[in-house]
Amino acid sequence: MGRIYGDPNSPVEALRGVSFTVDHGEMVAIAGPSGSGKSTLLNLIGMLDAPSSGRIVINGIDVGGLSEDEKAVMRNEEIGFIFQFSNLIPELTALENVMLPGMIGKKNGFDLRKKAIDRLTQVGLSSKARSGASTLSGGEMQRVAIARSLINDPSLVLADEPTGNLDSKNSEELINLMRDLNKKNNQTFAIISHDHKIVAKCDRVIRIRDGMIEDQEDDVGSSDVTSTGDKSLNDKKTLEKLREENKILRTRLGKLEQKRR
Amino acid sequence: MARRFLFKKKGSTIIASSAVAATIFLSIFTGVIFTGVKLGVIDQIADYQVGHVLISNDKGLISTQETHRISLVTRTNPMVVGGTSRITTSADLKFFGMEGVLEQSRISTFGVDPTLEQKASRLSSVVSEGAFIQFQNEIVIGSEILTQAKAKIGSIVEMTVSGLGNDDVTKKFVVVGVSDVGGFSGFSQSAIIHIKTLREMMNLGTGESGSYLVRLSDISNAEEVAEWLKNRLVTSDSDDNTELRIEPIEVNTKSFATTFDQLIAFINLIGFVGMGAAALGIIVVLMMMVSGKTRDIGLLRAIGIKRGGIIVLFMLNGAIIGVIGAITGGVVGSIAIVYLHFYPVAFFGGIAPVVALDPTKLLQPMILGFTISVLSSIYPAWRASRYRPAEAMRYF
Ligand SMILES: Nc1ncnc2c1ncn2[C@@H]1O[C@H](COP(=O)(O)OP(=O)(O)O)[C@@H](O)[C@H]1O
Ligand SMILES: [Mg+2]
Repeated sequence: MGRIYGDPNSPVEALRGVSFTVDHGEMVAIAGPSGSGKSTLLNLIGMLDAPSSGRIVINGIDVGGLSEDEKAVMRNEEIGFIFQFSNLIPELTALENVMLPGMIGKKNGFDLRKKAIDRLTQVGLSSKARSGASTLSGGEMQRVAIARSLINDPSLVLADEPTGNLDSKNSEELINLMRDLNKKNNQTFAIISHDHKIVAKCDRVIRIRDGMIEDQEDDVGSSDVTSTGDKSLNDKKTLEKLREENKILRTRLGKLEQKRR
Repeated sequence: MARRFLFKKKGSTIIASSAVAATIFLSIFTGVIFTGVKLGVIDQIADYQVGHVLISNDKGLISTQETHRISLVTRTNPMVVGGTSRITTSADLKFFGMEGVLEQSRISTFGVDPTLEQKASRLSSVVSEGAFIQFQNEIVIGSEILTQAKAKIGSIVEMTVSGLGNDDVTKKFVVVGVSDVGGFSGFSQSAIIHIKTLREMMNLGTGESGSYLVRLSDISNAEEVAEWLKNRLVTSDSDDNTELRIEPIEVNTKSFATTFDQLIAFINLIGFVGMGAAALGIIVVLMMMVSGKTRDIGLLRAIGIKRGGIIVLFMLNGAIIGVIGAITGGVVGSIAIVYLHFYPVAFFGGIAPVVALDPTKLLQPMILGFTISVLSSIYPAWRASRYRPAEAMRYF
C-alpha cells in the first residue's frame, strides 16, 4: 500500500509500496527513524486513515470496502489501540476509560465493569480504578491504555510508541506485560518503537525508512532481506530491470510477502 | 460520563447558556410588557373615553326618547354594570387672575353625569388634585390649561359655548379639581362639567346626549354585548343620521391596536435578531469546544465510536445548554412577570402594563430558546463527526 499526503501539487509520499503479512498471534515491531512513515502505516492498518493505493486485509476482510460505520465497528471490536500520549479521556476515571470501548459497543454494564476491573488487575492497576485519568503517572496511563485496548478482546492490538514517554524501567515492564498478554491471549500485536529492547522482545521487526520497508528480520537479527539504498528507485525502467533481478529489490519495491518463520 | 466529558470546563457552557437565558428572558419580558402596555392603553381608552361599548349616531345627538330606551335596554343585560350619557363640545375659557384676564379657546369639554359616571367609567380618577365635579356650577380643568392660565382650585372661570342657533352662552364655574392622566388620553388639556349645565348652555332638551357609554363586568364581552344591543336597539329600516351606531371597544381602538401590533411585530423582529445572535454565540462556543476536543474526538473515533455517536454527543451538549438557558431565562422571566403583575410599574408616561400570569407566554420563548440551542449545535456536531481520526489525533 501507499499513502500520499497533501495536495497533488506538493505531495508528501509518506508510504510507498509497502506490503507485508502478519500472522495471527504474531508480535511484530515496526521500527524506523522519525518521519519514516511508521505512524502512517499503523493508522492505515487501524483504519484511522485510508491508503492512497493498495489494500489492507484484516481477518480476511478487505477494509477498503467498508463504510465509515463498519470501520468504526471493526475498530471497536477487532482492534485495540495504544498511542504514545493523550491516550485517555482526562475527565474520566481510569476504570471509565477502560470501559469506554465496551460502552461504545453497547456491552452489558455489569459484566463490562467486572471485565474492566479484571483488565486493570492484569496491568497491575486495580487500585487506581477510581482515580481520575489526569492524576495518573505516565506509566500508569499507558497501562490503562493497554487495559482499554484489551477490553473488547480484539484480535489485533496496535501500539504507536507506547513507551515513548516512559523511562527504561517502565518501558521494560510495559513490553513484558504486552508480551505476556500476547502469549496468553494469542492476540496479534504490532508495536511501533525504536527501543531495541522492545524490538528484541518481538517475533519480528519491520524496518521502515523513507516510507518503504527497509528489511524485515527475525528477532535474532538474521536478515533475509537487506537494503541497498539505491537512489534510482523512482526510475521506472531501472525498477523493472531490478525487479527481475532479485528478492532484495522485490522487497524494496514492497512486493515481498514474507512468510512467518 | 458524557456530561463529565463535555462539561468539565464549565466556562463556555455558562457563556452559551447565559446567551440563551438572556434572549429568552428578553423575549418573555418584552412580549409581556408590550402586550401589557397595549392592554393598559385599551383599558384606559375604555375607562375614560369610550366605555366598553359606545353608542352614538352620525348626527352626534341622541334624542331624549332614544337615550331613555338605551338606558332601559342596557340595564337588562346582566353583563352591564353601568351606563351614562355624555356630551362633548369645544368651549372657550376665561380666567380672572391677578395678572388680568387670561383666555384659552377651543378646549374640548365633556358634559358628564357625575352620579352615573361612578359606575359607567373611571372618569373621576382623572382628577389628580382636588375633587371630581358634583354640582352644576363646578368644573374640572386639565393641569396644563390651569398652569398656563395661572389658575388653581377655587379659581373662577367663565366658559362660553355656542348653543343651537349660534348664540354664544356664557356661564361661570368654580374649579374643583385638576385632571391629568399620563399617556394618550389628553385630560390635561380638557374640561369636565355637569351634563345638565352643558345641555342648558347648548340649549338641548333634558336627556339628550352626544353619546352613551356602557361599562361591562368584563371587557372581553364587549363584542358580544354590542351585538346583543344592536339586535334590540337598531331598527333595520331607519336609514337616516339618527340611526344608532353601537361599537365595542375593539372597534374604537382598532387603529391604535393595529399600530401597536406593528410596533410589537417590530420588537419581535429585534427579538429574533437577538435569538439569531444567541444562536451564533452557541455555534461559536460549540465550535471552540469541538476544536478543543479534537484529540479526544480522534481517540473516541479510534476506539470505535461512530460518526452518529459524535453527533449525539455534541447535540446533547447543545440540548443541555438549551435546558440550562431555558430554565434560567424562564425563572428570571417569571420572577419579573409575577413582580409586575402584583406591583405594576408605569412605563411610557403613566400607563402600567396589564401583566397577565399566563404560562404560555413563558413557555413559548423557553421552547424557542431550547430549539435554537439544539439547532445551533447541529453544525458544530456535524463538523466534529467529520474529523478524520488520524488527523484529529495529530492535532495539538
Ligand atoms: N496528515 C499529514 N499530512 C501531511 N503530512 C503528514 C501527515 N501525517 C504525516 N505526514 C508526513 O508523513 C511522513 C511520515 O509521518 P509519520 O507516519 O508520522 O512518521 P513516523 O511515525 O515514522 O515518525 C512525515 O514526513 C510526516 O511529516
Ligand atoms: Mg509516529
